[in-house]
Amino acid sequence: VIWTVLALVVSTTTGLALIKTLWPIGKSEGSDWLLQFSLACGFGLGATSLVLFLVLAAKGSAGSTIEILAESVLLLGLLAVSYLRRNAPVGQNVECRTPESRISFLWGSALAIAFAFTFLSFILVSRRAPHGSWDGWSIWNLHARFLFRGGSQFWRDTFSPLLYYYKPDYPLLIPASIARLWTYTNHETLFAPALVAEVFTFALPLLTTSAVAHLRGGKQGILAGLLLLGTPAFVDLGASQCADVAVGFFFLATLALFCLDDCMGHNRGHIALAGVAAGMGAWTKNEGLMLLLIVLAVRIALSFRTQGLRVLVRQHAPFVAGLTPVILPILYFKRLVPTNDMVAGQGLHATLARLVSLSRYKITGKAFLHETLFFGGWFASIILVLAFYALLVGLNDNTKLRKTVTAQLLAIAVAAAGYFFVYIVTPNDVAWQLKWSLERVFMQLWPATIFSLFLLLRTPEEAVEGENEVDPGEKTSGIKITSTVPEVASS
Amino acid sequence: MSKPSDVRVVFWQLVMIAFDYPKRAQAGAVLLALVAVFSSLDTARNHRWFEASDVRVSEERARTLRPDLPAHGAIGYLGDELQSNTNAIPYYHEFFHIQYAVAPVILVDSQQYPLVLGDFHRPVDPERIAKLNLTLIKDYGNGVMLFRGPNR
Repeated sequence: VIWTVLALVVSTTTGLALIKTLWPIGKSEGSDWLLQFSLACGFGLGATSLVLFLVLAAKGSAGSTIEILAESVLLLGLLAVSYLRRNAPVGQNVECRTPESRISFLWGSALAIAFAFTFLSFILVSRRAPHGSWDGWSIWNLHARFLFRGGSQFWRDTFSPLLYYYKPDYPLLIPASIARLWTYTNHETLFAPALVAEVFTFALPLLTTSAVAHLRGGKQGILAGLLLLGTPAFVDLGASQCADVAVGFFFLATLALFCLDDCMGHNRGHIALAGVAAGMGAWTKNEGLMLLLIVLAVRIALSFRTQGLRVLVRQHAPFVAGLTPVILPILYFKRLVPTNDMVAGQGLHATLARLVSLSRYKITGKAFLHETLFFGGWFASIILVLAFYALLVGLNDNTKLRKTVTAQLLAIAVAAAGYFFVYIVTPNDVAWQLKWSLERVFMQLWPATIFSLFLLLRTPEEAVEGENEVDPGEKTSGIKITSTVPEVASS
Repeated sequence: MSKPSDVRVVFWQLVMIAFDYPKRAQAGAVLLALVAVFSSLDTARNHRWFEASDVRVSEERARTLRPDLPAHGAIGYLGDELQSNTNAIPYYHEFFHIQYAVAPVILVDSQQYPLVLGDFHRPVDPERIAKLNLTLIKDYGNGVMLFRGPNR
């Protein structure tokens, strides 16, 4: 256990160093630290899993010594760069943020209680199914076993076409993270896969809370975090040791970092980190690659007319710079693995026949509608509850933030449409595939949806301020807030 | 006499007066928070959890077999005989479970390999084994056997 925890401390420190290297220099607030820490949990696992993969590819095997050495080099390099940056000019320019507000004891307690219940649920599920759900052990943990047990030269058996039942083309962030923890301890434990799952299951609500709190105030952040923690399917899928919660983490991280860039003045650091996050998503699961392309395409499509190609290229160059160190090993990985079974099953005639099959649209549309209405296993339809809540509080009046959130919501909608068409053209039985995967796919988009929604809605603080006509600019010192004061909503 | 729709309008107007916007918004936020906290408690209490596969059983069954397997590479697999019109899912469940247990050895659902892993939950039919040209190397008990295949 000590070595496993040490390996996790090393990965989180690496993630923190990576974030500190690129994060804009400026005054940090509570939510800022929390945001950086939650991002560091996922980024650290992503970076160290890439190190393990590269060590395996370069040396043929990964003993604990070579792995620790390679990780030390990465960590020291990042720490050196972040040390050299300490005197860089402060470039924070707050344009559409809600100022930090004090969190009452009750709100803080509600979040702590929800975290405690989620932790309890996670422990209970993990004790009942220590190897995870079917996909958890038969795909992700199996790949981790191949990487760890395969040893010198044989780790590549993970990608054998003979293992086509077990998705040998799936990226390695989760399996390599598990194999890395086993490399530290020098033997397999059930604790390692559960710990990797736990990191993402708890870092994701922390990221949701802190990202919303950072942009829209503490109570709003807590509400967003509570909503994710309260989603019954969330802890279930988190403890199942599948990769979907991790994909959700990196998708949210990408959108949140883009949003920080939009809201806090264009800063290369946030954009570069968004590139890293998008790349890590692609390193987690094939869907991550699709989400990466969608986020980028939506941003470019929305800004192309107003900003022109040159500005767009300049703005997104840091994204490409952040993405490149992650995407290059992924491209190398893709050369080692067989073609995905879904892609391999796409002949022109067969795909066209599926695309024009009305029954497939009917089955998929019905399943999507049902999942939208009853997603997450809530005791009531959470979409209807949220719609009612939106009617009560109304939308915030900040046009700049609305524009950013519109891009995010569009990206989520395009991603949902993308998934819809993946189901339409799947060579597998569409009803079977929907039954076993739709909830997981929705979970990938759910944290980003919560984040966007709570950016768009008025905060509880704004409701009170609206009545008292307090200019939020007066409540801050040294930071200019240009967001508009919310009007008192009429019924 | 007022119409029911008028009564509804008056009711909502009274609600709006009693709960002005800040109160409504605050109440909504508190309610949403309570719903979420209750749901997280309910999840811990009501066990809406995926069905746990009995991985431990297959791990235990394969434990004694593993030292006799090669360090890597593919071996064949033979499970209980599948009758026509029977559900093939249990067959593949066992196949997946044993694959997980014997990794990094790759199991192939074929008997055309030098080594074939037998994984049975019903009494083995010797005639079937003979027909497949398999020679028993070791019987590990609990339905797990190792055969020499036809392609030596």
